[in-house]
Amino acid sequence: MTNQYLKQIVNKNYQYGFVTAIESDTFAPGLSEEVIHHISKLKNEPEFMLQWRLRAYQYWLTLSPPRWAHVNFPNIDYQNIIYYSAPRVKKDGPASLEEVDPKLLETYKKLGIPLHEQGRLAGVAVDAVFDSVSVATTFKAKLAEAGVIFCSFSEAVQEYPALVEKYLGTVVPYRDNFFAALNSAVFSDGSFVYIPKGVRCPMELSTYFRINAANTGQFERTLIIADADSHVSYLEGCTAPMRDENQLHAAVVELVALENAEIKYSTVQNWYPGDEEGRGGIYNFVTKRGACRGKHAKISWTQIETGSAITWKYPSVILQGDDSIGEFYSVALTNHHQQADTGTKMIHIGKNTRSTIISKGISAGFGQNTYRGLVRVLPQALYARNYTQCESLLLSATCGAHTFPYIEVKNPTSQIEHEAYTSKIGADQLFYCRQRGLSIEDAISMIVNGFCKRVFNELPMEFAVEAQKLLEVSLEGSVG
Amino acid sequence: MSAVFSTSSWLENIFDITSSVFQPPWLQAFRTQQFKKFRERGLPTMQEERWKYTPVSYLERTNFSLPIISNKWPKNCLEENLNSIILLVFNNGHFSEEMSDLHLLPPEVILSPLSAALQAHEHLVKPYLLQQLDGQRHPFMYLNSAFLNEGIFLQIPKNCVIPYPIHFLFLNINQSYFMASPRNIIVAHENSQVKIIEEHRAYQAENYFINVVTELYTNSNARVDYYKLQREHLTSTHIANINVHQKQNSCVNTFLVDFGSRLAREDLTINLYERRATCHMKGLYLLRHDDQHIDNHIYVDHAAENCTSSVLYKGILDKKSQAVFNSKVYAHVEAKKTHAQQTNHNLLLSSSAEVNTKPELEIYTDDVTCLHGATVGQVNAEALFYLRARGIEKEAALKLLAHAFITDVIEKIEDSAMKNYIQRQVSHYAGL
Repeated sequence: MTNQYLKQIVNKNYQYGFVTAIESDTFAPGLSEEVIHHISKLKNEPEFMLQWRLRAYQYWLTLSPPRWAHVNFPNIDYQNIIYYSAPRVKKDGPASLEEVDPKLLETYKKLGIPLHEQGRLAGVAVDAVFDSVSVATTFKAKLAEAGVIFCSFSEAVQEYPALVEKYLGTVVPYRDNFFAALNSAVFSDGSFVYIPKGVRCPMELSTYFRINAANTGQFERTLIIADADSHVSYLEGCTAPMRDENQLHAAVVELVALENAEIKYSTVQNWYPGDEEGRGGIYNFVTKRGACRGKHAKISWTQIETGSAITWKYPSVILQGDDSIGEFYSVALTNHHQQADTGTKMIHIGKNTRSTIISKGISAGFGQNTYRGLVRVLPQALYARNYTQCESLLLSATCGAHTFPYIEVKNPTSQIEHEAYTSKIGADQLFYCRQRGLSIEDAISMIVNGFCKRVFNELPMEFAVEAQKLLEVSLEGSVG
Repeated sequence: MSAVFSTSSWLENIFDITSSVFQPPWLQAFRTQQFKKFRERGLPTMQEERWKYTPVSYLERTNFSLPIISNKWPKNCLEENLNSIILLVFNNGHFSEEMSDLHLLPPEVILSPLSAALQAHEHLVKPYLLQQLDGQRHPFMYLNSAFLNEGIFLQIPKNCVIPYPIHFLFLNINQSYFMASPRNIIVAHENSQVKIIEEHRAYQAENYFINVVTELYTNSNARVDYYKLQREHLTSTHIANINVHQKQNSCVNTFLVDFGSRLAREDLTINLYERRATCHMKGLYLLRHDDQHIDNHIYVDHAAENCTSSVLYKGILDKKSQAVFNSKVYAHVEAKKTHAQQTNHNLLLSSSAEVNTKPELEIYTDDVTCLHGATVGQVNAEALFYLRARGIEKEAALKLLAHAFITDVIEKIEDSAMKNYIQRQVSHYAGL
């Protein structure tokens, strides 16, 4: 009986599955040095970028795809992917929103992105990435006033090559892993943020990623640098059309926080998860890492993962500076045949470094949800402190929830705690709610929301509401 | 995968020697097959997830010989034992009748060294010996099967309750660079009860390698309490596989204490095949020497409904030692109403000690309560201050606090004689 309600709630359809008919410049599928030369040339990149891409490509050729994650998928044919697709624009690119293809704007409107500056009320500056390239960035002028640089990656390469060269690949080197190497070789765009010394970014920054074209892979790269004493909050959202074939998304996000700086990075990931039988959907293989380089720096990751056929993602923090703080808050939901292998890495290097990990996994249908985390305390990390809590909620008899926490401690002054809990919604909890007159549906939704509350509280306001709604949508028809 | 064990190694030679000893043909054939499998599989490398922190490659480069009985019995070797026990003593892997004491054994129970059991009860022993152990996962089980010749066979018939603990005492005396591969088989039939303690000690023996496999079969309603005390020499290698097979309503309690060896690895695998089986695992690992390495790996396979398992392990690490703790609960789709709990606490006393802990859950059904917790920390500064303020020296205070840290685990031992024995051993040899 409960099962039915759960099913109804869980099985609500994906509402961002439309395709925008738009003219685009698209490469033929396949990857070679030529393709990389071509991308680099199209982007009019300086020589160092091209060389870096080529080195990454050469290294990538020596690697084989990782197989250790707790996910199953057929081998990906990397020669069958289109590595570059861009909405066709006038040669010099849009100077203002008026020049952006109205169809594109319509798409973003459908998605609820406040791209037009009339969305000013929302107070969020948006950089929108459509397929492989950034199409528009809003509120540029206002941000520039504060000295904040917020633009597409291609623009940053043109206008601030020194900053890009200094920081690119220093947190996630191209040698990091298979997908990071691939991304480094072929990434086409992304966002770039630089917050100067002592500046508190006046508004939330946001990037919206959209995959539109078929058979394309999306490889974007985000680089955020928060200089000393600065503060920034950054949001990321993603959707894709419904297609029967799987599409690859291999992004890299690098965060650098210098002394006393704080970066808050929130993600609401809602790529197309595939249909009920597990056909189609995005393979989301993302490398995200932040480095707290200076004293008292803080990096906080918050993620709501409801989409993607497969999620493979470990937003990490390298706590290099003394007294730096790393945080990871995550809600990962897997429904139907979705698989998620996600978690975090906290590497304690500096003294008095602290990290908190709160991970909530919800599995429904045939979903497989894995938390995989690493807490490593190096010998010099005196008085390091970690608290980890990972909880899993099971909503069907056919799903799975797994926990693989690695704890490696080489310092006696550190204090590490880890706890995990896996169970289904307690019959007594349901009974309690039902007794007070709540319908089963409301009771379950209330319990699930309560379960995720601690993570939702970490999200910026506008996102918290969205996340809550999103969870209801994704769960529709699965609660049981 | 891993490197194939080089063919010219010492291993080949000693295998040939053991093959020349007379054994039933089926056993010969089985051993040869297992040896071949081991050679193909090779030693595990640190690239393998399950062996990530365990360096064992030096074993291949060490020339181990076969153990020989020592005629020099250490004077006090039996003095400190438990009172009123059934005792089986092994001298460098060979059974010693003169030192053993079986007079308290109920007549219906079969307890004998494996070699004797093979002669007297071949049909009983054979099916247990021919079990295919998962050597791909744990190649040392192949190695143990390849060198199968001695160990213990214990069979407790239906409804039999053995009131006295049975003590398996493996003494390693006055010999170095040898490899012993004991195989212990314990079968507890319906409604039976038994308490067992397996102990490994060394007297003037160094650099040896013990590769032991203990198989424990508990039939329905049976209860087995299994204790293990590992006090090997600090240059030795001790690799143990303990495989527990549990049927309906059976109950197994294990208690492992490790404080010896240069490298020790305990792999405890619990198979809960039928409903309402319970297993409670406790353990201590106390590392007090440089370059000491102790691994504890636990795998609990919940394959039936209403089963319960719990894990409570504590470790204290001093000097430049390294400990690894890994436990995994695997709940199959059938394992409804599973209740599983895992706890691991570590106390680090030195700045060069290292601990790697990984409590895992792999759950494929929804009606379960599984939890785990792990902590790593140091002595509470306030508690230390409290003691120092009362005039207790730092050394003594630290000792007291470390003792307090592990006492609650020892206190959980039900049998008071056993509790005292283990407490005594821990205070004497681990200095706590």
